[in-house]
Amino acid sequence: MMPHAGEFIFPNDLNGVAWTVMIVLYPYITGLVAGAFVVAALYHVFGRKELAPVARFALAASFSFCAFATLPLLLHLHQPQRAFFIMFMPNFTSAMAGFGFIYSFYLTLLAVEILLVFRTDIVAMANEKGVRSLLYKLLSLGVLRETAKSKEIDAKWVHALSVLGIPAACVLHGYVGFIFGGIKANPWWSTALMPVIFLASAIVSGIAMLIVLYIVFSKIRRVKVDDECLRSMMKTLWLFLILAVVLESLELLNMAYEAGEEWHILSRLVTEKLRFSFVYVQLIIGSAIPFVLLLIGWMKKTGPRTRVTLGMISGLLVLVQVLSMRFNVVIGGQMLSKSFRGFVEYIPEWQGREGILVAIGVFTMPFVLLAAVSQILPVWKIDAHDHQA
Amino acid sequence: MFSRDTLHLWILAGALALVGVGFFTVRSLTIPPSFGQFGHFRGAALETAANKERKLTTRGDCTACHDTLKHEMGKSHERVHCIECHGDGKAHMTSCKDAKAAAKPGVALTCDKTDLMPTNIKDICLHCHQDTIGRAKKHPQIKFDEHMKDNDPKDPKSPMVCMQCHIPHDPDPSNEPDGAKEDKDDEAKPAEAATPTAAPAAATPAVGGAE
Amino acid sequence: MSCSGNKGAKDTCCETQNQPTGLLDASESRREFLWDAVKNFTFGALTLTVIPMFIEKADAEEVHTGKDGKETKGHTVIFGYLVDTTKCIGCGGCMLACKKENDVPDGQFRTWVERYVYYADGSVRVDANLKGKFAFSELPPINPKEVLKSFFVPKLCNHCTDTPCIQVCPVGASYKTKEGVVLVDYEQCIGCAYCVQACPFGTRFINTKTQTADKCTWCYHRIQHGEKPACVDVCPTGTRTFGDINDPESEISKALAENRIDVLKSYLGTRPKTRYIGLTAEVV
Repeated sequence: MMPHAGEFIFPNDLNGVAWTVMIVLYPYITGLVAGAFVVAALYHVFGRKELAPVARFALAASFSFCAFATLPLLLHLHQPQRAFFIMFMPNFTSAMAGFGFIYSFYLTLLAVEILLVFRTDIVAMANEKGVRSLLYKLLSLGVLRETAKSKEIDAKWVHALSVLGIPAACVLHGYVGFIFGGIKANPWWSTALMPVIFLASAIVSGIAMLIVLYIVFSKIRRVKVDDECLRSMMKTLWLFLILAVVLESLELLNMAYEAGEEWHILSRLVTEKLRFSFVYVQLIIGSAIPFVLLLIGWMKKTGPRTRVTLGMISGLLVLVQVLSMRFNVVIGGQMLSKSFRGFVEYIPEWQGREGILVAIGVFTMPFVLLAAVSQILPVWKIDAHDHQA
Repeated sequence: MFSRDTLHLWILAGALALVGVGFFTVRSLTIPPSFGQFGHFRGAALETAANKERKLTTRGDCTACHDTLKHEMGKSHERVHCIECHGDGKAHMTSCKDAKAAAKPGVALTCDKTDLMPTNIKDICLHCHQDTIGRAKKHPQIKFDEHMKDNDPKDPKSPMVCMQCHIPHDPDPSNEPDGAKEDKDDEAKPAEAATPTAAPAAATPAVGGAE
Repeated sequence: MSCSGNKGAKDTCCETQNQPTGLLDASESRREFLWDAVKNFTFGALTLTVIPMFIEKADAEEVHTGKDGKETKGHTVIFGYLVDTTKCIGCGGCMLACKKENDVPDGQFRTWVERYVYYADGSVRVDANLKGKFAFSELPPINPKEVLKSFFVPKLCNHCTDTPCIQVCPVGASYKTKEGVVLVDYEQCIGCAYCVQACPFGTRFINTKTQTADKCTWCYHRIQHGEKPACVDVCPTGTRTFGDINDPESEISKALAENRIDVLKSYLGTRPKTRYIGLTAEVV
């Protein structure tokens, strides 16, 4: 720093950042949607049979997160009553305009796939007596019988939807990355790597979330954690974690090496403003430590009990890593005043519509829904026809 | 294939199609009629934007009646907007409008002038003329205390101290105030008032043409 | 039930159904029926969705030439704005005028005045007048002996030709008039703040009163009636010039022709129509 050069931010930045913790939460939740779906697809499409114990649950989790992915956005909008304008009068030069359509498509796809995957069970329960069966009658779409032929057709559709869901998940989340990557005014965001980084970290977060939920639900249900399944998930997580961290680091390395006009302020952003959330949390606690833990965890020699412990710890750490990554991108990018001569102050708000308390509430909702879904549908059942597909 | 085996899929498709139709129905009801008229935006917004209420008094508003004042302004202050010192003059303009409507030939107009004269000219002057880093050297600037010492005015504590030596309309230091000038403003009025009906018409070309 | 999958094309679907051939008997005709249904549904969906969107677009291009905006002296008016930083004395009258004219909330700015102070050691200090009244003298003191040079730079919306803010607005609430003025439709804005992120000049903000995006309009409500923007009107030094850049006789056109002109952040390619005289590389 030159002796006389003080900080200067554009006057409108004195009011703080425009995108708050809700916009941190939004890509986090959509990331979990995409990641969880990838696990289901690994089983349905890529024949990773060892993932059978979590295949159905992964779908249910993906759907539960997807159902609440728009809630943080709605809470963020300053004119929420006009939210649907984005689908009624979309301006397609905006990276944001496609969101409503991509999101609706994906939510529909997930809902349909779930109805078909669970159809045999739904039909069986719909044919039972009692009030509860009414719900299943609704879910069975009023057709209360299955034939061998219909099961075969359904299995084909499930396979097709799983295949279609993979590019859809990539589009859904790569697209979220583009919302940031396409902003040339902000050098911390403006990189073609952004969609890929978001996608990689989405898959990472989804697998980590499934590992954690699988272990927690197994404890609650008092069942043994399937060792092969957990090992496979940890191995996949390890792989994608490497990919995500390498991409994230490459982006930064490239900026630092090129050391362009904005690097003087970006380097200060990383080392001063984001030192805790980027260097300590995202890189060390969230990436380096789980990298080692997962490596030990997926090795064959490791015992099943240790594996569960390692899976749980590394899963949680990776979840924190991805959350901090979202924070570092969304909030970090806005800390950079467009004057490139100073930093916008970010003061997290606890109460209020966009406060942390509401954010916690919003993030709880997918879990409530998931718990409800797991009560209604046999998410832990390993189905025979799944194996055929 | 359309059969008993696929009935549930058709129902599902039907339900989705229903949602789709519902979406487009609501969409068509929501889109404002002028949307897309001139581009991907609400055409009516242009009119709303253009017809927003104008709040600040323009130079044209002043010169509509006070064209004579322009000749009184010295070269250095000719670009200074009247409202900088005289306030927005809203009450003045309203009362003049009323007075003109009720005016009789040969009788002087009585416009409300109560809010027009500044009570603290020192602050207004220093606004532009305080010695400040950033201001071009050629721009006349003073350090107030030093300026008072150098020039020794009669009443340095007065908020109107600057006017003891300078005429605000033509503040060149060589120009001493002589009291007589201050009355000119009032003299200009009856001349205009003599032809009250012609005044607005004559004033019209001046609107927006202050430069 | 047979029609349930074809809501989008109810009529054609039901016509097919009324054909005399026994529909559900032969699998051949059943397949035909299905194929028809798919075709009809697709057609219906397309008619309802894609086509209206294109019609809207086509309309837009046709009408856009001529009806919107003013035609004077036989040419199209394109507004431009010129800031001569060498003339600015940092009085802040423009900020005050803008605030009053446009009802801008406290702490938010459609225009502001920055000050660049260059020291002999090569460092540059930047600050801004934020009170809407002259207040540079109240900022931390500067020793005049250390100062190499210093000047003021007024800032406002750049009314870019290639606007990042309109590009990212998801609902068409930001738009450009035919005269090149970039505006916000406060009744259409959903308040997502994407435009605030996309503007490289920090001129957009979410208005705390209206809860929509807001920014300088070049006083559209004044310039449409032959007046000047409030900031231009009150500027005592002639720092700010506004006018029709398509009219070679206008004050601004002459100034643009006579001076070396620069724009802010030209490397971003937004082609601002707010232009500057006397910028340096340090001005952001």
